[in-house]
Amino acid sequence: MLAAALALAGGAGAALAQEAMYTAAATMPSPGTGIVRPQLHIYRFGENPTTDVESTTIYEAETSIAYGIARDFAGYLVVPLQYEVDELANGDEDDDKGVDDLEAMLKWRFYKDDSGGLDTLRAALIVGAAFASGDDDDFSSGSVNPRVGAVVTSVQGRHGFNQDLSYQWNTGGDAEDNFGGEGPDDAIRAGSAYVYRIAPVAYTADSKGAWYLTAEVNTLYETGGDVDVRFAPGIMYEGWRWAIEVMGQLPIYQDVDERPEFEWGIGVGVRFSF
Amino acid sequence: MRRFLAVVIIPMVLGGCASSGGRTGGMEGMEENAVVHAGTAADLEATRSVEPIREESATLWVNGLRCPQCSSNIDAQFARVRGVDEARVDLGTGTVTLALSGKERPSPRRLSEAVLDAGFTLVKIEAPAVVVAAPAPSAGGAGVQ
Repeated sequence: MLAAALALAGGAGAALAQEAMYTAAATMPSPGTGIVRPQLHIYRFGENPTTDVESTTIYEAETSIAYGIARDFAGYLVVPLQYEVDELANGDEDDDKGVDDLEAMLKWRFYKDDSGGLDTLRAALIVGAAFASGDDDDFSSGSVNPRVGAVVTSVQGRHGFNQDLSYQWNTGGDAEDNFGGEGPDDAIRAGSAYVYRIAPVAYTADSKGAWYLTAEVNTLYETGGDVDVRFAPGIMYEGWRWAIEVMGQLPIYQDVDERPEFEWGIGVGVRFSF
Repeated sequence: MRRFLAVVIIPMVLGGCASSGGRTGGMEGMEENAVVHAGTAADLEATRSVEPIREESATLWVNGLRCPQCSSNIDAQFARVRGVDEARVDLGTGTVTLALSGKERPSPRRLSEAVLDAGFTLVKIEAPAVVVAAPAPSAGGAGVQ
């Protein structure tokens, strides 16, 4: 409980395995190595209260690169390309594509207790910003939005748990292009992820991969009062130098007045070590 | 803000329960791979030696090897250590076996640094010269070279 309460964390992108899709982990590439993590996300939203859009589907190709800078210190860059399809109230469709805000983050792991062959408790701070991609303001906020957070990861045998929390000061953005955390209000994100190794039950000398089931609860609170809580079940296979993951995302609680309600999402991703 | 606190605190509490349960070893499945390496003071001292390991292999007892892709960091870090030909990670026992060769051999301290760089914790090194040498360097003539 204390660990989880201290936990808190990032919201931003990649790290290593034993990490679910939408929640950060206190893991990172070692110095001089990296992880490339391309992901395809589809998000479906309902009526936009600030426009005449009845529903919106966003197809996002997000690539994050994590690189180990020094021991317990890594940098992250996230590039999200988006294709957005709006269904208008008059029955027409409108579409657009662009680059959402980029994210540049630094992660510092300040605590590590490896208590067993497989067991560990780690905590990290994450500092960085989401910043203008140079695209028009339908996608990019055109601003620099600092973010600070923290994350705690606990792995005990087949059970892994990640808890993150972050605060993002939004200095730009507008309400009509906000699909969560991108508007003029500041964004507080909290993610809890449980990662369970389903196979192998026990590692052997020949084990070179593992299957995991994942379950996440991700909360976004915007200082304007909007709250969005999502549940994301998924499955992941992790090899020695790569991993593949598939997640679904469903709303479990929403109270949003200033942006569209989230209806569902899916995500597919891979990770490669280099 | 009250709504936020409610939806954030609940997952944290659930997470805290899962985490603390794991620490006590009470979770289902924990009996598998319940490897806990606990080195002695002599083992710890041996990992700090700066004398090169003259043996052709060494076994490292490492804590925190929690998953396959995480463990690939071990390969990457030992690939940079002179004198290490191959690193074989055994997640079942939580050990890393190194094949060593060449004139320039790594010391236990250098191997320990590589393990730390990889993100894990070295508990003990088993190479005859190291194990025997650390607590009693003159014992049996098998001291650290």
